[in-house]
Amino acid sequence: MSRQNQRTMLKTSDTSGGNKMKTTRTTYRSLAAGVLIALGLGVSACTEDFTAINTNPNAPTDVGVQYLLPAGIVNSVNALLGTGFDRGTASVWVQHYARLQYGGIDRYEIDGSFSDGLWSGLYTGALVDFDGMVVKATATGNANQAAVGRVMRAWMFHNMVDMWGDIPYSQALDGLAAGNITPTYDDASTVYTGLLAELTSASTQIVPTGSLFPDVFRGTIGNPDLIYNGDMEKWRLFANSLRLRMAMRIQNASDVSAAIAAGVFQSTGDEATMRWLGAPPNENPMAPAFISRPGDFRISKTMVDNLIAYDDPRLGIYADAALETGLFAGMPNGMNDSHGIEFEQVSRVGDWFLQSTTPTSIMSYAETSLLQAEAAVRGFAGGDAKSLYEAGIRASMETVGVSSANITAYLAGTKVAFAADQAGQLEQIGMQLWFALYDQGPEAWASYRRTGVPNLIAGPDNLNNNLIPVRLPYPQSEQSVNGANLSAANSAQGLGSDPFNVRLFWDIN
Amino acid sequence: MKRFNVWAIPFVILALATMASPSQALAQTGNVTGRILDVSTQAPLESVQVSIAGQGIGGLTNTDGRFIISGVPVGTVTVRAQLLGYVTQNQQVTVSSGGAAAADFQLEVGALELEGVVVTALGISREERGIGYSVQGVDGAELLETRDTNIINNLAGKVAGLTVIPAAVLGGTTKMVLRGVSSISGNNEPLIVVDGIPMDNSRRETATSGGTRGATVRNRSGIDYGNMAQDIDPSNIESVTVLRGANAAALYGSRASNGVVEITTKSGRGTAGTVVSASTNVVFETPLRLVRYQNAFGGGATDGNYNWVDGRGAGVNDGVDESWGPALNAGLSFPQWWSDGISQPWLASPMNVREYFQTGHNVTTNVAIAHSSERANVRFSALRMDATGMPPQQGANRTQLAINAGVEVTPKLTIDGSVQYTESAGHNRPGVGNGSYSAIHIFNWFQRQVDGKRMQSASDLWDPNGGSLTPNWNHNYHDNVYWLQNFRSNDDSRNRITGQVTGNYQLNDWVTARVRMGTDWFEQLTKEVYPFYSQDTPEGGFVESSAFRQETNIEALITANRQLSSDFSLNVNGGANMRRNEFDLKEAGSRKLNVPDIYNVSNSASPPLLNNIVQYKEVNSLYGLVTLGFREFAFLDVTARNDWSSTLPEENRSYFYPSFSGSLVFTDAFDMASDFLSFGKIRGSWAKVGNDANPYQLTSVYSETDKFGNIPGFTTSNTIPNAGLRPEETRSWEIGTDLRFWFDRASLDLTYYNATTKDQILAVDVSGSSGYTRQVLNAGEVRNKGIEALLTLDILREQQNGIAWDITLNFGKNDSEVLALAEGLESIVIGRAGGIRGGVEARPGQPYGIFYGPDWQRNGSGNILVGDNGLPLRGDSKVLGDYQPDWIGGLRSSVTYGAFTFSAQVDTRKGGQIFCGSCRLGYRTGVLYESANSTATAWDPDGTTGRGMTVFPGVTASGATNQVAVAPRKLATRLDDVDTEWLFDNNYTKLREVAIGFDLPQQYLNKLPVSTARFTIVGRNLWLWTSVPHIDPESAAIEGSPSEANLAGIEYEQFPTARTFGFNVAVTH
Repeated sequence: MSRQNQRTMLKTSDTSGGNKMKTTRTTYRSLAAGVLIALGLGVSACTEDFTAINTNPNAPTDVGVQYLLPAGIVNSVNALLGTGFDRGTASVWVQHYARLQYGGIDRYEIDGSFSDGLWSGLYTGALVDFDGMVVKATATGNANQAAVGRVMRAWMFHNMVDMWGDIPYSQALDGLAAGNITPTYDDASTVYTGLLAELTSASTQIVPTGSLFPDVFRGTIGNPDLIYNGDMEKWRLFANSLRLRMAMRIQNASDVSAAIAAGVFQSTGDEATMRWLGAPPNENPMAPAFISRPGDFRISKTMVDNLIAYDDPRLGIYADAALETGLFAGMPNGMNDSHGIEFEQVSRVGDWFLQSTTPTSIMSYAETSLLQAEAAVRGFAGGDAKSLYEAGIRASMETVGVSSANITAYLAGTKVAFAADQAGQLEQIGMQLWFALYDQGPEAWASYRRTGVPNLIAGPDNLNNNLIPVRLPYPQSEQSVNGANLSAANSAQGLGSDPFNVRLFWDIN
Repeated sequence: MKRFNVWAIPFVILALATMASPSQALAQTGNVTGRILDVSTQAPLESVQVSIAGQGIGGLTNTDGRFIISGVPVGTVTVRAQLLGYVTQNQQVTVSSGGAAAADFQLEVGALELEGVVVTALGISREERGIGYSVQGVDGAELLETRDTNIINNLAGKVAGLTVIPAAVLGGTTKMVLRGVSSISGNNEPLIVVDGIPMDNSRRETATSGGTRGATVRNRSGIDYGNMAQDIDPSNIESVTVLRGANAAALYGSRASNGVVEITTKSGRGTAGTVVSASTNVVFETPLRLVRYQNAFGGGATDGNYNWVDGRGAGVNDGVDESWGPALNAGLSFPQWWSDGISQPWLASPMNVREYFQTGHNVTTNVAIAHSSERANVRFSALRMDATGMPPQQGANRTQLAINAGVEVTPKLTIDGSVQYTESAGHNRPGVGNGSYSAIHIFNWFQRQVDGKRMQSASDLWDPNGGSLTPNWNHNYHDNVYWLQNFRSNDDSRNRITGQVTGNYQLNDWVTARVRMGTDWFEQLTKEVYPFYSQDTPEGGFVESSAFRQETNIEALITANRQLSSDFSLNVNGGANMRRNEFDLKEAGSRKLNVPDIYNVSNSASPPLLNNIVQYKEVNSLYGLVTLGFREFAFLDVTARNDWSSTLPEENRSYFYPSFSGSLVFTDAFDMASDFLSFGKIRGSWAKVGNDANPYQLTSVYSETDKFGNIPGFTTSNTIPNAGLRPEETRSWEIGTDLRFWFDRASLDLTYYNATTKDQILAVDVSGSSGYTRQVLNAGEVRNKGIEALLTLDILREQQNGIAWDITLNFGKNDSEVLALAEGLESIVIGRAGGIRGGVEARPGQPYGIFYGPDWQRNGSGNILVGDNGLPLRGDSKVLGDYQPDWIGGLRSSVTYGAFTFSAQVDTRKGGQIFCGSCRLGYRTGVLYESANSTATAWDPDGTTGRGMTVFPGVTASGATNQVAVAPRKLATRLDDVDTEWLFDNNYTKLREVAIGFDLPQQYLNKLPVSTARFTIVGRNLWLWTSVPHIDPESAAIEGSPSEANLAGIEYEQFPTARTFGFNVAVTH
């Protein structure tokens, strides 16, 4: 700024006469005051449209159930059956897959931060939407919509109990509605009991011949029910099949027989399946994961060796031949990164599972058949154990495209033909569940923990005292945001410094 | 009628009342009269401060230069005449009772004008002596010759207490922080104001919803489009004033609580006739520091063989991307990626990273024409910048036109205006940080035998239609790094207009009204394309976006200036401002293409990515400033401001905040100026500043998820909103002194400050089991306190021996402490990056930005415990350090001798830690120098890695020294897990700037059509001294997500910073 200008700004002298000056001063003083007051009024009066200005024009404050359901289905399937927990961890721990690179998870080198994203992803990603769906549908009296929300919510919650044991349940998901940001943890078995009741109630609530959504949502843009396309009878069967799974988990004979009596899956056509469109982002999550990081996973040596031992025709579908040798060879689990095994000496996961259109199974007919076979063997329910057992194997094989002749031959194999003794039968059913639940990590891991079949050995470089983990550590984030309730849950379950090896209440084999 | 804060009323009334207070006549004993003229022009000087030394009485001259001071005690008194820009004069006169003593002065224009004028908040020019808070000016000339493409980089080391985190990449983001980080999760950068108009300095917005990151388009981020202040042209800057902290900036309102960088641009005012000036700046840049690599072992993981077949594992070790393989330069031969199955010598390629970097260049030319007449002035400037970066194919350019004009319409009405138009473009900005897009990431895996020149010549062998991959040393994890830079390209452009028009009307000789309207408008387009057969995007993809942003301000200000009496002066400013912000983002893209190379949504094989966001915000404000001066040595300021923000709920929308400050020139007040202490001032201030929120935090919304085919979905927002949000509040006080010694040859400016920000608007983490991940709260309190010092030494002045030598030293020390977070919250994670196992956090009782993560298990004497297998044991997480410096300082000196000027600047940082993510990963991958040069004690018996076995220096549980040797690769995996291992004390000193200038002497100029000509050799970032290995610790600017804006202290695969050198030619006519 030039000096000339500074002087102008500091100009204060006055050469005008006294009287004139006084008048002028008064005038200007009034003028100045007037302008200030006018500005003040103007400024404060202009806040009238501030509420409108601060209304978010980008997103709705409320949406209908028909929008929550598809988002919830995609999010929950990706969270529970995507590449994070399912293929990334559970499938490795249950020795369906093994890590070829970055083997920390395979050596059980994970800490609480592993669960951070998984935990909040499940609660905030889809559970809160299914919960909202139930609230909205109940308010409008739409029983079928409410029931579908309850079934999906129960499916997620039971999976979460199977991972962590005690979890926030009765007080969960109330952060906005009730302002509860520190929900207490509920006892795992109480949650199971609650979920069974919830599924029973949802199953009876369903009007099988009724519709889920009015026609307007089906005609032009497709049905928001991505699993059953609005077929309520199938939702009813799914609810009861989940009851069967959970009742078998806790070995409650009356719940098992009640679930079967209410009607479970009768064929693969009844299964709960996510059918992908085959283009991103609506594709089987395994496809892009294997395309961009082909070197991380291989099929486990445990799985390949067992398939070979059982002379199982699923071998060539579950695994690809190793590129270097043309042979089927699995990757051993739990190896140190210096294992020395080259990428193409071991088999990749079979191409069938890596297609972008490969469906993701939420719950299969094969599983319900095998569970019913076990229920029959244990005397929890009626039915012919052998034919249920064989129907389960047949369903699993047909799903991945094994020919009928090969299935028949397999069923006659020495290791497969239904044993005469109960222990042998249970061992065979457990083994077939383990085979059939390939590509369904969480359920495979839970089923293995319950049955103890097969007898898995932790990998050589594992860091968990040669034990296969039987639960997930609680998220680290809970320590800082819900610490008191976490501590209570830790002590209630006897969790000390050992995050992996305290068994869940149903894990009593 | 919306709520008006009643507390504002008294201030307005006070402001009005003080304007009306009558002049006081004092007791009479005698008068002093006189007339004051300019010595050279003999023109009368008005507004000269005339005072009787030690008596506290005085007055001002009128337009005729005359003054009269009454009530002067009888006897001999010293009459002092002071006028800004003139040398102060004293004269002794003898006053008799009832008589009138005469004292005429002829003032000389001051060659050394130390009592400068600074531009303070709202563009009000004030004498430094009257300011009760700390401000620091930077001369525009200091920024010009050693200009950087980013003006903020130029401020590094020049301003006491200013931390600058520079961008390494051409056109990247430079961040700055004054007086520490005060906002836990909000913005901490000072507000930039150009000619009174706030200037947007944001980074490019990324999508906040809409799910644009697809399953196959991973890691699409990592492109740093830079901060918007880059559009400021240093050659147009007249001066920069830094208003530190809330005290100085209270009048600017909310956004100024982190301080203000106030820039005044050049105008044609004061130009003698027409002046044309032109300058060209040509600089070259090379990497200042690269990671030091090992050259002893090549690619491979676990055995001594290698055989390249397809780069995916079909050979031996050819799918591995680590460097733990066979020894290099040891006579071995293997088939390699370029050798078509034939064994070729296994040789190190020591320069394979270095040779990737080119010498970047930057040519900037600026031409300005300024003209001034009696009633009007105008300045027009044009700039063109063309630059290439150090990565191949990177380029940037900028064209800028600016006009600044002022006219005196009538003697009472002046109108000034300025408009600047900027068009800038970038091409192929390199990816930075961890991502398959980042060359530096690839170099952290780049096997030591990989020949870069061969990579480069192979990078064109790509046929997207024929389905061929580009030849590469590894196809499992990486793309050919040269191919990436050529074909996985990005382009961006920005058009920006900033401008303001100001009308000043002089209502009378002491009241002025000003109305100003200004806007800052820009639109930025970006396009990132992903070709077919890239590792990450085998089926192609792209994302294109258009971001539009505008801020408009309309301001009215009334200023009254009165000398109330010979003792008291009063200055009152009252103003109002309306501000409107608008933001509009549109994105379109695809995650999978049908036909290669066509990057258009119509070519999308999957549902196209579409996203748009608009945001609006308005803030209205009323404010006032009252300055009371007493005898030109004591000053009291009171400011008050009331804001109404659209982002807060109706009941909390209006918030008021005052500030008070005072200064006392004690050398004048007590007449104690001496040869030793020529000037002394103390000052103090207290301020409160309120702050509002980002838009749309009051209500919950549902966000759209990816459609499933045509089926739309919505999901509940993850954030619990807060309908009762209150404004944030910063309270700050500071005291300081300004001392000048030995006829102003040395001056020292010292400040102590203490600022606390509470009720911060935070989105804090909540338990996911609530159904939500975050909750918006008013919580958290952070205190920053510290000292700033500025020492200026005029060791030799030009009058003496033709040599001038000055030194400026600045120093800033800040201590931060997180006093509280939300109730029940242990910590807030500021961010994680670089493979850090813990994170950078805010924890109560700790400094802001601590490293909280795993340490080793240690015994009582601090030795690291080692397990039976010879590997050190990972321990619990704890506080490992923090990222904020203990202190920073700068030294700048210039020497002028005849036509030559030499100037240099060194700045330094002491303390705090840095997490070296490149060190961590480089060791893990086996490329780092240390990974091949650890203390090998025995040849690996298995021969599996080629490297010797190593014994980790630790102790066993029994306390015995560890004797168990482990394979180095195994150890590297373990070291990777413990944060302590990669944290280093962040001390460094940089030779920031050197300029050697030569002014063409007059005898040559006479023969040329120019009046001045100057040639300067310049260099920036020439040398680095640091204890941090491998990296430039200054470059720890992580490209975090918007919620990680305050993440610092982690270096991860940053581009190397540049050492620049070149020359500057400037002429005027």
